Amino acid sequence: MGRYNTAMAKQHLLWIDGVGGFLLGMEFPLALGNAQAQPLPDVPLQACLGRRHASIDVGAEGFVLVRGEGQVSVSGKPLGQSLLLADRARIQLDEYCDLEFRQSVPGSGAGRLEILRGARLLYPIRTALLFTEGFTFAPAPRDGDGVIPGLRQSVTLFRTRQGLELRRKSPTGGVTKHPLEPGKPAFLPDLCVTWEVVG
Amino acid sequence: MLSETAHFRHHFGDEPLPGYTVKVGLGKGAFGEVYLAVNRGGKAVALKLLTCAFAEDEIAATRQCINFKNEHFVEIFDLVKGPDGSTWVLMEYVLGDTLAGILQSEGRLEKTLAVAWFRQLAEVLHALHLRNILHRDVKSSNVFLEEGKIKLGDVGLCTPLEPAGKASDASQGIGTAEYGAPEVDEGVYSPRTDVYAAGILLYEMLVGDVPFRADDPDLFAWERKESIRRQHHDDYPDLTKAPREFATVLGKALAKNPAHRYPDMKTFAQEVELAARGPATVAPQRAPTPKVQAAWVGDLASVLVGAGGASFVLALLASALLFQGDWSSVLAWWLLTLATSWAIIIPGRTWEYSERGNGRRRLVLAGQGVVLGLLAAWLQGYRFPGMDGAETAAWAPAAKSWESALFPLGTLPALPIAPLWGLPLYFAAMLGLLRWWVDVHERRPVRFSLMSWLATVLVAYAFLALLPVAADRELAFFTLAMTSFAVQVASPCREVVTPIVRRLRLEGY
Repeated sequence: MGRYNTAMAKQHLLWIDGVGGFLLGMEFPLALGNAQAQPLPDVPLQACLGRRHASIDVGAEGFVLVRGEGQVSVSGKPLGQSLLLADRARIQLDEYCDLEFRQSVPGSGAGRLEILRGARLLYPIRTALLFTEGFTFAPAPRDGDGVIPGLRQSVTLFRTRQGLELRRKSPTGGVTKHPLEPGKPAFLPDLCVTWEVVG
Repeated sequence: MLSETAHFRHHFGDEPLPGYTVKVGLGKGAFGEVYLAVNRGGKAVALKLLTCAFAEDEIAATRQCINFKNEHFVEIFDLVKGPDGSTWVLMEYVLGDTLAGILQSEGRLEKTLAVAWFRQLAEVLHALHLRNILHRDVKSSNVFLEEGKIKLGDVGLCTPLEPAGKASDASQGIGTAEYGAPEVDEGVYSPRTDVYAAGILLYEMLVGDVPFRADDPDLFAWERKESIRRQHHDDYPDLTKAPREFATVLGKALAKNPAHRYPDMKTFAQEVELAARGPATVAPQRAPTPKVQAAWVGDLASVLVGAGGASFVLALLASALLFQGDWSSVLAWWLLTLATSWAIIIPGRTWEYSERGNGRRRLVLAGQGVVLGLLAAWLQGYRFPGMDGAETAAWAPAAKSWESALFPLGTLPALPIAPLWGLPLYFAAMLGLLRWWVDVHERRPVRFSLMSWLATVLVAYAFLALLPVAADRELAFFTLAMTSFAVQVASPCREVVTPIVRRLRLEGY
């Protein structure tokens, strides 16, 4: 199997056929930093950044961007100590690295961090999914934290003690669970998802 | 959609090609499937598995571009066979959205961004054209954005250009319906075909949607496609939706006649940039390049020669029926029919086709009709003052043998109008009132329409019966009847295909 040139820190990737790949950010605070640093930051960015340039934590009202070793501004304004992230907040790390925070439901425990320009993740991936418990994919933006056009029914990526599982409402009103095993594709009628653990 | 995407042939961890491990299926289409894979060194590549019936065409197209390099082009690394005999294209993996995806989420783009991206697209297309390659599938879902730069991908329909400026592979109607220029349905491809598609793309960036759509959910896919193709031929894009300063450049890029479009992508991009700076700086439209102009003039000349031949045969036939052996009459009828045919064909095939707003066209045709009427009068013996020593214009058309047979009920009595004006009035009315440009339009479904010919004959007959001016009605009537026949027969039309054949073609067979 192809391997990434990474340090040994464990990182979690999610691959969805027909959609692409995501870095999973489930442990907070989540460090954003230079991909050359050791140990590897949670969001390893290939750019001239500090080892722990900034971090994202979870507060009572949602995700909070916390200042680290480097220069950070949010939507054009220099970051003080910390700032509650709103949907479409533009995070600039140093001068060139632009990220965007997206959140469908303000204050919820799920959001997305997209790399716009100036940096790359260590993997062929552009988006990190941030969630404390679960992240819901839906066919329309208003119904979930992320959109998968053409999805028949919403599906939630849920964090359990054992790992990750997909949860979906069953026609009878209950919940169908599909546990994910690292490296093994999970097939739903309209979805094929693989969880990969790197490092 | 996803019920299909969940069923890619390969999944995470598969190694369909030695040394390449699949991470995820990225997309499926008629061509095959695209995967993101990583090689042993960790480099991400896009693997395209060719599964369509026309894999050989795609392989040939890929070979055309395998050594083409441009910073705005999705690079092709290799074309290989898998252990199972399947064919794979190894390409650069572009980490970014497609332009289609961005437009779907953002709607229209800001003007400066649209112009900047268009400049990059024009650069890569121009570079392809300079290497004698046509892309033939320029569309927003084939344009990727990475780090603020666009990259043009999907070379599956690329084809080399022949020295004459036409594509060597003249397959009809290939490409995407929403972006295809009208001439692709006849299998005519040139850099101007890509100019048209790029024009649609620019429109899409500025407006947020393509100009021609068929969104009726009740339509079958082939009906949708046919409806869109018809709009490309017959309708005009609503340029009022785009920023005003781009109306002129978009109008020119999306001209139905390829000769009226920008000759190349470089010129198009320059004009777009000028337009973006403001209406005052829009450069005047340039004339077609000599090569295209020559092809266009050649096509027109062949139609004119064809009309000449057809009208000569008709004049001979008329002569045999009406006045045996009178060669001067044959010559006069031929000359008049030929001149009338040319007066119809030249504006009909050079003026942009339109269903509405043809007032100016009618006026020009009527003006030509006046001249033709004067020519007819001269051919019938009228001598203008100063000609042949004549000092006055006294003249009365001679009664002809067929006139009484043509109009058994007689005609309206002549008003006190000089008989000279009878024929000009008649020709002006006939040319200005009838829709001649439809009879010579290249997209009409049949070459000769009996209904159209009968309509012309009936209108001419009725007008002559009611014309309150003395005129050579026999000449006038038969000239129009022959002209209607000659212009239709001489003007090529689109190929007639049965509904079943059309459907098969639209479905890609």
